[in-house]
Amino acid sequence: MYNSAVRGRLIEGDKSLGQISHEILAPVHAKTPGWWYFALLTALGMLGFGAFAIYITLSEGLGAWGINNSVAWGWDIINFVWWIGIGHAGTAFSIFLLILRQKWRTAINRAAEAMTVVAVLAASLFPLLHMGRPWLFFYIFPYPNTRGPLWVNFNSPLFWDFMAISAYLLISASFWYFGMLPDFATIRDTAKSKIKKAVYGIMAFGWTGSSREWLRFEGLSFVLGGIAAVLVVSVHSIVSTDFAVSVEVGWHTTIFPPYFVVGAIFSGFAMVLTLVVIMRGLYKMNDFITDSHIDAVCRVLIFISLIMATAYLTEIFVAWYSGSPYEIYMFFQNRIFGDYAFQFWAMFVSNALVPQLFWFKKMRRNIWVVFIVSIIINIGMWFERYNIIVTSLSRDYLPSSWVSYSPTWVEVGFFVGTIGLFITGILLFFRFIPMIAISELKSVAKFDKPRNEFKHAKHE
Amino acid sequence: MKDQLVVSKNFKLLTYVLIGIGVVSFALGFAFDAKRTWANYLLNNYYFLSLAVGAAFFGAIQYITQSGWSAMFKRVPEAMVAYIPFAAVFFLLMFFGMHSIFEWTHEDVVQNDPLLQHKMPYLNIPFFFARVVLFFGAWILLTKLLRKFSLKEDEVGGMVYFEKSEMYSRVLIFVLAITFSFFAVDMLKSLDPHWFSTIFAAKSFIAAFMHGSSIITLIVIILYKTGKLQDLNRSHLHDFTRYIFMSSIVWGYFNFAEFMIIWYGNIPEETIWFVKRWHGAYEVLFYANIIINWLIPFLVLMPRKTSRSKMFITPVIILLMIGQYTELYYIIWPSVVHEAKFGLLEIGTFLGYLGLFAWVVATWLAKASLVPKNHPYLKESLHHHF
Amino acid sequence: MNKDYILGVFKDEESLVSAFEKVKEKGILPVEVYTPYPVHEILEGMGNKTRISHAAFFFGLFSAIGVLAFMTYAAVFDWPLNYGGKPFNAFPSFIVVTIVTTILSITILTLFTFSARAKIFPGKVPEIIHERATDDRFVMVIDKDSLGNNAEAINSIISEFGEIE
Repeated sequence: MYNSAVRGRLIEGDKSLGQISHEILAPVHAKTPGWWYFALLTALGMLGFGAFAIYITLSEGLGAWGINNSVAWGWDIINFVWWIGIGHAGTAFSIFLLILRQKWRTAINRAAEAMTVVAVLAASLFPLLHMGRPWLFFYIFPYPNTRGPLWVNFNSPLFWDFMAISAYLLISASFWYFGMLPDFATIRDTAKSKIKKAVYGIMAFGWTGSSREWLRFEGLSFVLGGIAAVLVVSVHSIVSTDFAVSVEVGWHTTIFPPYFVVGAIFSGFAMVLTLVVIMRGLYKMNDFITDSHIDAVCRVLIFISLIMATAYLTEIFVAWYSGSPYEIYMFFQNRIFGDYAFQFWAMFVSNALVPQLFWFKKMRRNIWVVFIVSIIINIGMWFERYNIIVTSLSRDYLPSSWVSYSPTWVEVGFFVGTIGLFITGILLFFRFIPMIAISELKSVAKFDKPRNEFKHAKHE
Repeated sequence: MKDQLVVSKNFKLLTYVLIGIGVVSFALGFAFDAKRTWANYLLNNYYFLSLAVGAAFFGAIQYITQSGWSAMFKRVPEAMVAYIPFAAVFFLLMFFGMHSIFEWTHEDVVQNDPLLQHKMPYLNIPFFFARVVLFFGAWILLTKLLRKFSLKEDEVGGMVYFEKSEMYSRVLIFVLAITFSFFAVDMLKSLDPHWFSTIFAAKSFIAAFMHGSSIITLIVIILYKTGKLQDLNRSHLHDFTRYIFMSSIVWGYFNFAEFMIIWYGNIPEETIWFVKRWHGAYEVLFYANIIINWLIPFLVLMPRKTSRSKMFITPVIILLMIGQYTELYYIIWPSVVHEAKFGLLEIGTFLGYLGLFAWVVATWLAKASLVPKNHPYLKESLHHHF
Repeated sequence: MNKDYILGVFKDEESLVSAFEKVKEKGILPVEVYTPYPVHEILEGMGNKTRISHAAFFFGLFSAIGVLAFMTYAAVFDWPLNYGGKPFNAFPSFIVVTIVTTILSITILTLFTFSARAKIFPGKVPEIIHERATDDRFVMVIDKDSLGNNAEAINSIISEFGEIE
């Protein structure tokens, strides 16, 4: 059935089912390692700095940020889009690879989904704070009110965005949580300590693994899988409409929705790769996240990088082809050869050129190269958002309103804070949750063993 | 010999008759309404090329995603790809109809139009044909290579040709992504030389992929009905329809994204394209396109049961064949012919191309074993089940 | 453990499926089968059906209609406002929100349906039949009363592939 000679094995070392649960659960059952506390303290420190930046923002107002009348969106929206993009990995991973029947996803999707939830949480802080009075955020929601009732503007992409982000946060969190039920039950049944048994027992919602439960669970996964595919595409498309439906130069272009989606998946996969490499190194998960898993993610990255390159070239070509002097100015005189050339080329080189290293097997097998390239892509994707947002706003149709933009320490601090939040979330995930989907991995474990061909004789 | 296709005399005769109808239609068409006939020529050229390119993309995708289930069907996309050289000849012959089709070839128009002058370095006849030659050269070269590896693998076996195929599949995907994007701009977008839209190329590409993979499915089903490829099971069908289903959704999404952004921005130089297409028969096509290419496949292929049943898949595919036609008609006619005319000329020319395409596919299917022999995933494909 | 049940405990999927099919040939359907991961032969063989995807479809249909109707009501009938020259009934805009909201309602409602039908909810006390059923054992539970005179045969089938506990 599964040809591991060609694709590489899904799990190294001929493990029994018991060994699989035992080894994956080892970090959950073991004592907390020292470095974990150290890392958590660092992350909490960053988070604290971020909280301080938020305090300044709230007490002084948005004037504490570097944004101004022309460049009304700065680091906040750049970081928002960046985090949301990273947050696309989890769902994209589970879904697209499910559709393409990629069995190797089982070892990685849990980590990707965890990352999604934390990243979306981090992302949602930015527009919230940008509102200025975040405690009134529910004004965006269309509810019967005493103002008329004056409804919200359903034409506004910011309203769409609000709906999309809330939906995405809720859905990805529940998708992730329900996927973990069987694994929580495994922890409950293998844990020695009473407290652990009780806590994970509550978290497992009474899962026993009966066929009735599995049947419905499969049905649920099928439905949620189909939905999440649409969700991934629609959420980032909606984020892109924040830009694309305006008539701003460099923003108003029809390729934006898929271009944003692909970019999001690209940065998400890069972040997954970063995370997985760290996870593999720290927790010795080499048998489950094998070289061929890393290899597969790298191949996906080449593919997406090529799409990104095609999208960049299309944009540039059509800017010229349109014959519109504004478009031509924006792309050629401003982005490629102008004031923002550094940001443009940082984006182009790290997203379109550097990942091409993965064409070579040697590079894909060298874990350090993989790690560094994944970081470069993350940075490159940040520059992409910078390139889109700041270049267009600072040089719009009216030269009299041209300004430059640079962030203040408050914005930077806020960003650092969200990174702290992300790391904290990931550390908690490493410590308390099985970082690989145990039950899914068990269900594919049989494909490594040749004797399992018996069952296909009977079917169809 | 159960894996060897023999093309029956009747089938060949049928294709000859269809080709004959096509030739006659063209001859009469050129005599009476040259402009409209050239529009038909472009439409059918593009239509069948898109199927072949979609098939090439499908084949390459199977390699790069390491998909095992499709290994036993790989001769089908290979046979469809064999049509590309024929399409190359047709596209080169378009040289004689450039003036009837493309507004930007009229020098007097260009001279009074600063925008078209700006586009001159790209939109001019020598460069246009240089691109056609370059693109077709690249496609033919790469697809021939892949076909050669595939046949060699039958003889020799082992992993050498599999790995080579995988490598060249990646190259092919890259080349196709770039070249076909420009190709769609050249052949379809430049019909309205003032108008521009960045997603247009991607939309054409996904349409080609969607219709290419649905025709692959159709051919597989036909082969099954004629007693070949008997290992086809419901799981295979499910995987095929998953491709159609997904690409149909993506198509709908691209189409909506394009329309939404242009509608919302409401800039005259962009909306003109839709304004032209919102009158009379074209408005009907605007909605018909969405219903045929997205809504119906979406609803019919969504449930697990229907997506595994030939009873449901076949009509959807036939509808999609019509869908690609209406979409191209909707793109080409308002710019070239202006009036929405549809008659025997359109039907006749389409049948001609259909005959040729069927002949090419059948002939190339018969040239090699219908099921590849030493493909490393073959066993997995034969026993595919989920 | 329980007097009225026989527990067949197996070490891998293969033995479980073989035993399961032999037991079924005897005309006996196990009360329940516990596995660490879904085994399709068992899910099909147990004869249960799930209509969760049908339910999801209708949730989607109704919420799509509901959301569209609400927006049309709010923006066209209740308080029409001109936003940048867009028509009151700005259908393309409405579609966007409809898609997202529909997805959200499908997810939430399907989760509740799952919770209710599979009886998986916070605070539920599980009836753990076998400690290792969520780890590495496949457990088949057979009602002793349903055996009749097949008891010996069933026992031998189970011990052929696994153990009786």
